[in-house]
Amino acid sequence: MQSKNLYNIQPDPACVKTEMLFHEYIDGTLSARRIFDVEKHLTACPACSSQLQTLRDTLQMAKELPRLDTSNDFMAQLHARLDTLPSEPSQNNHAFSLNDVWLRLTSLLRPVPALGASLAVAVLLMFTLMHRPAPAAHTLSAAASAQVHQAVAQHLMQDALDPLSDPAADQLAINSSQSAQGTAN
Amino acid sequence: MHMFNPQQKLSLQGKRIIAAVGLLILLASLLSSTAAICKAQHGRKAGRTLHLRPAYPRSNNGRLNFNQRKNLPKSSPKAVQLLFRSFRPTVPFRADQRTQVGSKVSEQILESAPNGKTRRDFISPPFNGDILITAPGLYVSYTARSHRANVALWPKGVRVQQVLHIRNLIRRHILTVTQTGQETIAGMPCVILKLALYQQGNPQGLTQGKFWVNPQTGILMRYERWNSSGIVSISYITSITTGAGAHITNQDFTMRALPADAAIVPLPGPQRSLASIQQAETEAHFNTLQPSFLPGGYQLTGVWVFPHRRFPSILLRFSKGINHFSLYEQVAREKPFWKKIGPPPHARRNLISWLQRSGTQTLRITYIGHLPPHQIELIIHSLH
Repeated sequence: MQSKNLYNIQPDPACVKTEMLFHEYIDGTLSARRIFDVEKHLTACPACSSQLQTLRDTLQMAKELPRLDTSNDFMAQLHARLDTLPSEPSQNNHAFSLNDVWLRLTSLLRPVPALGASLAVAVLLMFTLMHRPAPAAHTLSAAASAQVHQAVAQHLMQDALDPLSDPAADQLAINSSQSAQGTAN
Repeated sequence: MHMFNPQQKLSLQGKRIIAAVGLLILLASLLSSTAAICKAQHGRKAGRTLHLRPAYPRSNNGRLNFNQRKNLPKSSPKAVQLLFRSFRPTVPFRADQRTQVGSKVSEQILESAPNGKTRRDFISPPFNGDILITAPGLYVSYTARSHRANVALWPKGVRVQQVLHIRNLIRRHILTVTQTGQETIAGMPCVILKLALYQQGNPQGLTQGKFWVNPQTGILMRYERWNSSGIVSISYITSITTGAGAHITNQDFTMRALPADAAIVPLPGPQRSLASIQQAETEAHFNTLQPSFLPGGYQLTGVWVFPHRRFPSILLRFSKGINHFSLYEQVAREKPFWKKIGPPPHARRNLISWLQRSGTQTLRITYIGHLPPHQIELIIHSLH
């Protein structure tokens, strides 16, 4: 229990939520609404604002570091070394706690996107229901199929009497319809 | 002392009257809704009765007047002679034939003997292995997939009647046969014949078929079937061997030519058409559904009853020149409780089958033909 949280103090969910947005906030890729949320929290929370300042300083320092280029065969060497390493069972280094997952979910489930998503699902459902294939009632039963076969056999026989008929064409036309009729009533 | 209270009695009577009026209104609404449902199910009042007619236009009690006769297009005698020769080629031959219907293709080996025998061996999917034999007095249709053969014995002269019917249509100038050109198909010189149906106001007529016939042998090398929308099907020979080199024997056209132990299913052979639908209904013991709409030029030209121990069927055949469509009607074998009853919403095929009520019975109706979709829909929705 202690190992999970050193002082047994649950972090403030608002702080965690805001911290997750720090990088995007610094990069300026947040929406106006999110920027407003972050800044509102920062004015009320000195801990988060100092943490943001620390992050900004670190990034600034990283930017000021001299640029080092890798050698031309760096990638080849890297791959060669990776190939020589024994395979290890995958470790879930990025495992989230349930709390994190819940926080991410709640950040996603904002009213407007949730409404939009539910509307989209409803439209998709309506579309699927309206364009669904013919109901099972249209499938030919064995008895019906026997009747249709009998009708087809009689028709082909009757047609074969006609010197101007084309039995092969009739058979082909009926067969292509029958394969489609498999789903017709 | 009991005092009479008129107000109380009046209110009681009033209540009774209101209840009676309410009941009447309820009954009336029930009756009207039932009538509306019945009307919607039947779609229309009982329409005109169909009568059997020969497949040519009539006026003046079946006779064409002088002007109509004068303006009728004329057939070329040579073309007519060649068309009739193509019904029975004079030499035996073996050919590879290809048939196209829309995007579907079928390939067959076609064998023919001069005595009017023809055999088709289907060599491409979906009919791989199927055999169709037509000979004087015999019809055999073997399906490899089910390993069964439908066999019918034709009475003598049935086919001759069909030929006479075509000759009659040509004599009456309802069908015209003209030569439209020449072409070589699979190395054989052919004369192109066009068969057109008389159509008022159209001097060219309505093309119903084109035939590429070799004038020496009478072999039909290519055949195009047309309807009012254009080409329906094309069959043409890709290679041919004629004479003794074709190795045609009489054995090829008998039941022995079928694969061993194929199940034989006898079909009731073709009979003469009945005189009326009423006669067919009496024989088959059910009332048919008849279309109140028929596409322009189509008429009822044949009614047949195919006997069955429990489920006899009635075939109604409608023709316009050499184009036909059929309606097969039979009392439904399946229990229709959970089945959708009524014609299908879309009709875009050559074969459509559905259940429909006829009085107290449920019929299985099967349409087979080559009509355009909108005409099929009009026909099947006009059945009453």
